[in-house]
Amino acid sequence: MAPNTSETLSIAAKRDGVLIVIPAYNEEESIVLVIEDIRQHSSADIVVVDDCSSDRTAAVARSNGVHVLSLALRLGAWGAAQAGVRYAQREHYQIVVTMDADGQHLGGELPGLLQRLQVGDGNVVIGSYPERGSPARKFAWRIFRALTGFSFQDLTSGFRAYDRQAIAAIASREASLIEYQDIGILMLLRKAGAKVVEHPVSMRPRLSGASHIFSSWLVVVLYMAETLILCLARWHVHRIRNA
Amino acid sequence: MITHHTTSAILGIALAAAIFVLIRRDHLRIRYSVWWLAVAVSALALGLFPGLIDPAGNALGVAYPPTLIIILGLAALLIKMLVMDIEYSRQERNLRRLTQRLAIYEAGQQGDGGNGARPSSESTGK
Repeated sequence: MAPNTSETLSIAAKRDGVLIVIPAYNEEESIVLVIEDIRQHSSADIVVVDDCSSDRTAAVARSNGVHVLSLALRLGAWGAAQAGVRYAQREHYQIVVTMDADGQHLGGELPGLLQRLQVGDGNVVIGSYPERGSPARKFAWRIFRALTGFSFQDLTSGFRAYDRQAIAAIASREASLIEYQDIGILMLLRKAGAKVVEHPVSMRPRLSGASHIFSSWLVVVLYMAETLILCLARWHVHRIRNA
Repeated sequence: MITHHTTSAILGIALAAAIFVLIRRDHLRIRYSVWWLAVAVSALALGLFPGLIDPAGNALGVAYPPTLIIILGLAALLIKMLVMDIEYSRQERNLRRLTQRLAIYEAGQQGDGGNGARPSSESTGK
């Protein structure tokens, strides 16, 4: 069915549109601050994807005037982010930026991230802050850099901007069984021929919660095993296009 | 003391009967029933006539042919578990995408319009 006139206008308005996707799980304390911080630095639309929170995250976000997608089942951070990416694809946004709901990612870094994408430096820009993280995280990154051939300094940053080509790749069915928005997504993007670049940003400590990936040594071991298998499963000979 | 023939017959008949009952009561999807029906028939045949395995064991060089039943049974179980995990992964993918699609659809239906965003009439499909 063809879109009607108002829908056509809406689509046209989003041709250059940026959507900021914030996956959130029990972040009622920090979500308002995150939204306000973004609004101070960007006029982009915001969608909060509530990952089946048991607190008032969705209500708080909604009362602050942002669009909210409420998942009926908990899908994890990437599953929630992908819901926002699929929403962006459906709504014809040209750029998606994913940001954490815990306040780590700064709205003030958005213009720099978007500029790199808009001047055509790449299809994906990673907001990179390799200074953060424990020795375990840095050890894991070193191993995965060696396994994948990626030279990115920050493999697990969830602060990323994607253009339409990248959005199509990460909204695909193939991306739906990936657990985290990190190496699996980067490998998928490489397979899709997307160019990925890093942009140095600063981050601040979380306002609430803890890292999903590096919350305990047991989780780290499981994460390492899963990502190792993912690296082996997706081991294709591709020209590495990362900068 | 009962003989091993009687024991194997009882086990074979009990397993086959349980599977037949479950299929008859519609507890199993037909696609899965095919596998379990084959298991039931095999269990019945080998339970009633355990000597059937001897020629196969001898042909394959198994010194004690009844161990072949155990090996084949274990292999069949592993294959079945692998198939189940493949099926589970497929369903998990579908469930995740359905959950995402439902959230997008519900937000549109509720006019959850922060940003002034309005869901368009076009669908992204799957």
